[in-house]
Amino acid sequence: MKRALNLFLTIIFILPFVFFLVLSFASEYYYPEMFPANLTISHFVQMIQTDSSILECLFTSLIISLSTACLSTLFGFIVSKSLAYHSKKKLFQMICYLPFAFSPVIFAYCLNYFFNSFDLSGNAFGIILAQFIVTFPFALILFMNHWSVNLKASEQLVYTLGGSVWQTYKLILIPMSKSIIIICFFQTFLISWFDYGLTSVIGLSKVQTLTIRMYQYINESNIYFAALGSCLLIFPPIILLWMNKNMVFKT
Amino acid sequence: MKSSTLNLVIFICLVILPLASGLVFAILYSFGLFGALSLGFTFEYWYKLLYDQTVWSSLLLSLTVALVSICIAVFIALMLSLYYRDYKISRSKIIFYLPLILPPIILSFWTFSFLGNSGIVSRICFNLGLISDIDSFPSLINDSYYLGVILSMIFSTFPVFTLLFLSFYESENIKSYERLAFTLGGTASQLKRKVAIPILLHRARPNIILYFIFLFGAFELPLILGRQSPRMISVLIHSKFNKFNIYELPEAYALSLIYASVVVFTIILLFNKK
Repeated sequence: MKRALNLFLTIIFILPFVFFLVLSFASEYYYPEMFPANLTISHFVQMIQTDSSILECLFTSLIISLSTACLSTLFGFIVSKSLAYHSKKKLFQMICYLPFAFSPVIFAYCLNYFFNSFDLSGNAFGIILAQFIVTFPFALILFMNHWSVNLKASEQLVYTLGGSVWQTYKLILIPMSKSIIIICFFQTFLISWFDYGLTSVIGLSKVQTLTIRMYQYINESNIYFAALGSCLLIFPPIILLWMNKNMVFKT
Repeated sequence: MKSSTLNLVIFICLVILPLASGLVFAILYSFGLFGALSLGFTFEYWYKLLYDQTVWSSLLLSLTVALVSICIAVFIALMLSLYYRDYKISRSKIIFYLPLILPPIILSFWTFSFLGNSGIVSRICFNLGLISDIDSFPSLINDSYYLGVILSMIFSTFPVFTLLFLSFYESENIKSYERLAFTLGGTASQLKRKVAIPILLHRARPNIILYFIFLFGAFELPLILGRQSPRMISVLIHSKFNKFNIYELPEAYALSLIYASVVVFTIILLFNKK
């Protein structure tokens, strides 16, 4: 029974991935056929030769997500230490949940005026900043729970032995926090990578990321390119998950 | 400046300031104190909004969809985690992570391809002779019951809670409580109903509430899989902002504030209960 259930769950979880992969190679997938009549690499060729912008979308998405994840992880790690040891830690945590819990698209509309005023709408920098406003509190939540009495004691020991702030971070705090830093980077990358709401409002559809392009394909009912876009969108998270599988699964 | 003070200033500038400025701007706009067509302080937009039937049906719909999805997802996750509790699932655990790397926009495309009129299920039904043509397949996408949206939400949520419950089962040492209850004469069903499930639900309550908020404000799934009327709250706000009629902007901000107040109230409640 357990084996059957395992098999069922495996099928329903793997099916979307297989479907997108097959559909991205398909050319004639008409109703009521179960499988496409032809498999071809023409969509990939077309994507590279004629619709090269999808590769630009991939590149733009990667730049935006990597920048957002790096900035959030870096700032989150440093700033969270002071907040975690503060007497108002609970209040700070509660505030951090708000930007993260808001629907990104509604939050983006509320902030849009300021982004327009500072000429940050319609460019990649504005999107990075907007996503940072959401991912930074998330990083703070993750790191605030990480700072402990043990870590503080180790840090104070280094200072007592004459270590500098830089040495404390380099030799004690960063090595001891390696796993949570990687998890934070992974999570913030995913939040940014999957974002559609903030990007569409702040980017004014001028900045073409993969999610924006995917929405266009779905709207146009271009299922083959939508499947191809899905594969591109899913690929980096799979790689990240695979690279960090030991750490992620343990946590 | 001390590093802790500097960090506090960064926190205020990057977390509190954007949040507060966005909300204050929305308040000013909704009361007619800001905007291109501002005529001074007025309750007009709020009155209009509060007497608008679509707003209430949208709020009710969002609450219902989020509540139904989270309840079913938590129920499935509880059943699965209790079923898998003694089973070495570490290897097969990887499959539970797979739905988590599907962004909402891809998930909606998948649901469309799977449950749509020309989707995989419809093709299977046709080939099995259960339906005669494409139109005889019941519409599960853009339907009045939001089935497509609910099913997608369940699909993306229950693996998270299964993993969460499995980890809580170990970290809370529920096994030992179950053994104790068993020694005291509890039956297998009582162990589940009166020991394991209450502990798991109690421990996961903050996560359940947070997920409820996420689902309540979900945007991409109802945008692609939902109906034109009634719309879920995020989609309704999005459509009000996107209309060419700028007279609707104050209403859109007022509606955003109603949504924000639900989120803020829930978060405060969550932290006070904690």
